[in-house]
Amino acid sequence: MTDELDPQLARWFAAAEQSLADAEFAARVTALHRRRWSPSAALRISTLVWRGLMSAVAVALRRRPALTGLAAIFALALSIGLALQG
Amino acid sequence: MNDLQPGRGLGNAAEGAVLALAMRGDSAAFGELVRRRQSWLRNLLRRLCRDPSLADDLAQQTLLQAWRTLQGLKAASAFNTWLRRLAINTWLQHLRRAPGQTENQAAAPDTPAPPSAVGLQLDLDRALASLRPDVRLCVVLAYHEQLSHTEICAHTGFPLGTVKSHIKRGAAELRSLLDCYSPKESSHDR
Repeated sequence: MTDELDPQLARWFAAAEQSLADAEFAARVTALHRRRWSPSAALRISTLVWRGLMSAVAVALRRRPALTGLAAIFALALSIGLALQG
Repeated sequence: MNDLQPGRGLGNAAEGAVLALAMRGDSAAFGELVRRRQSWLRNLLRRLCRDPSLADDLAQQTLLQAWRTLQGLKAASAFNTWLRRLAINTWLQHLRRAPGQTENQAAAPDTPAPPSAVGLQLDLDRALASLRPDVRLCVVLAYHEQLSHTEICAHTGFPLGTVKSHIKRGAAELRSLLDCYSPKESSHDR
């Protein structure tokens, strides 16, 4: 439902509408979709999470006891951030 | 995981069935939705951002975002409205990231092209690009998407008065920029 449209302008918009071929565009969407959800992407994310956890443990073991908890939390947050960016 | 490919017998399937499958995570069904909606979506974004390759990039981003969040769609009947909102938000995010990049490159069509469908499309997109983004959005939703003023308010969050004035002003600017395409009336020449 439209209100108070300029009929000539409406005709120009209708005339400018193209039927765009789908094959190439759909292939690009498919390629992007695969890249984002491929097994290699999942492996990369898992590796980053694992590395982050290991660095959290390493930091926790090296620091003085008073700072251990804080450092571990920081390292965990860092690892999660890295994983989400990957 | 299924391929995100149209086909697999879905080409003639009813819209509701394809959508229901896609909402359950069937990527082939979503591929079929991509095939059915891509032309409309790309045309909408071409009117909004003029540059066809940028419009296609934004359409891809919209569709990938749709795929990630489709399961949260409450009602299948709202799919078109939901996808249009995603497309508009994707375009607005692009404008925020790169302010001015697609704006003002396009002054008004200075040398009128000979009237033709392709020339009209190019000049319409150039003329649209010379409008302010909020005005352009309202004009495109009214004329390209044929939404009512109330629906445009719902899509944009603008008050009704603002929507009406944007459409009126934008339409007047477009009419003057695209004057060469107006049907000539002999009485004007006298």
